[in-house]
Amino acid sequence: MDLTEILLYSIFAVVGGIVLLIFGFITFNNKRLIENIPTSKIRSIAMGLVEIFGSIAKAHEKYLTSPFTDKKCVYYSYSIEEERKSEKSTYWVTIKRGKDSALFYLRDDTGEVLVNPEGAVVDVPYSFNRTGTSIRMPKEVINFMESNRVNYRGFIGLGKRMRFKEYIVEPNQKLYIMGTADDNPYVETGTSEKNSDNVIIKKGAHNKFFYISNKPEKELLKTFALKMWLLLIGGSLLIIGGATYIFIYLNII
Amino acid sequence: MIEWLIGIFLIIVAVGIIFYIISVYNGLIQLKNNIHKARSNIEVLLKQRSDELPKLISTVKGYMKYEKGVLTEVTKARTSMMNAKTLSQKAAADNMLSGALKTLFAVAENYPKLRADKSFVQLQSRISGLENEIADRREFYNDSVNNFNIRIQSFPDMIVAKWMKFNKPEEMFKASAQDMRDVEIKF
Repeated sequence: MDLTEILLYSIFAVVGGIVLLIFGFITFNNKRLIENIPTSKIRSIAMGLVEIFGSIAKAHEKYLTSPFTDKKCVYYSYSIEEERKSEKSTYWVTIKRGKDSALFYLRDDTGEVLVNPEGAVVDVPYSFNRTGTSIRMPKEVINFMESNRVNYRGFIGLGKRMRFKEYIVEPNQKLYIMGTADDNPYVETGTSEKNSDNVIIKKGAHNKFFYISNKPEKELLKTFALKMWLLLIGGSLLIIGGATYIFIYLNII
Repeated sequence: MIEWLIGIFLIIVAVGIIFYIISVYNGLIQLKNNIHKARSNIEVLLKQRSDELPKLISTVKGYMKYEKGVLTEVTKARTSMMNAKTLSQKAAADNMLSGALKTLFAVAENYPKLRADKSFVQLQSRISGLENEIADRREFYNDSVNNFNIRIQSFPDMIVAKWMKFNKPEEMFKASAQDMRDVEIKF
């Protein structure tokens, strides 16, 4: 590696460090937002940014079916990656990704409210995560690839090395949601006596923060704190390391 | 070389502190707004409940001719609510009205004809629903106040709070002993 190449990496390190710092501060702000807003009871939910906690009662119309595990769900996202080789290394390329969501009702001990998960950051664990030869995957995965015209066969019909990931939100799953409470477009104004019937939780037009997680608030805050410190410390180290080399290169030091 | 590294480190720390101050300030503004919003959300429900009471009284007074005392207490509590100025007075009037309504609905159990009246059943359900929502929103308001009060008393946020003159704790939605005495009711 020559000196100019190292200089280029150093510039990338400084820029990357600044980006990490910015994301660190965004994470800090989001953590504060979660801390600042108390959890609302569903029956007395007010309009605006709200935090609720409960379990999925039912879908508004019908459930979706997850692509790889064939389960009933209200949200799924997936990715299919393929391993490729260059002269120097092997790397993964995403060849297909997608997500879909259905409106659902979240229930706590006081009532139910309609949630539209479209546009939310959904933080749930994998429901399916497997790496291996494509033709040896479960039949649901093969069916999905065939119906979506994903080329999973390699040279003379042999399988390719592929990676599959799926995340789903299932019925009865407990969820933490922070989103915007707005007028429910599916209920005519004044026709329902219950306050929560007139409300839908969705991504706000002004406040874009919309977060859905299976973790309770305390655990979620710990995750945010860890992410924030990693981003801030990582960003600072990258800037210091990168800037030091740039200064050395330019003979400033 | 070490001076340069210290210089870069100090710049990062300074930028960090500036962002932190901005973030704490914005956070305190947000907490203040949350409190005002939560208070307005309680007041909306208190008003809705007060508006339902004349309808309730006119429905029940035909059946409960011999329970004038109970009806008077509801009316008195409603008047206290309308006249309440401070948060503590509103909380005391709310407690009084909730108590009077509880007694009214308990006494109504002795009047089968009243219990069969559709408009009474509807009003009872509506008012009970509002009572529950008011209780939830009181709790939400007090949580919002608690979040703000903890933040302005915790280090290092208290430095920014003091600097921005946000160091006065907010009042909870709770009746003071004085206001409780003022609206004491006896059945």
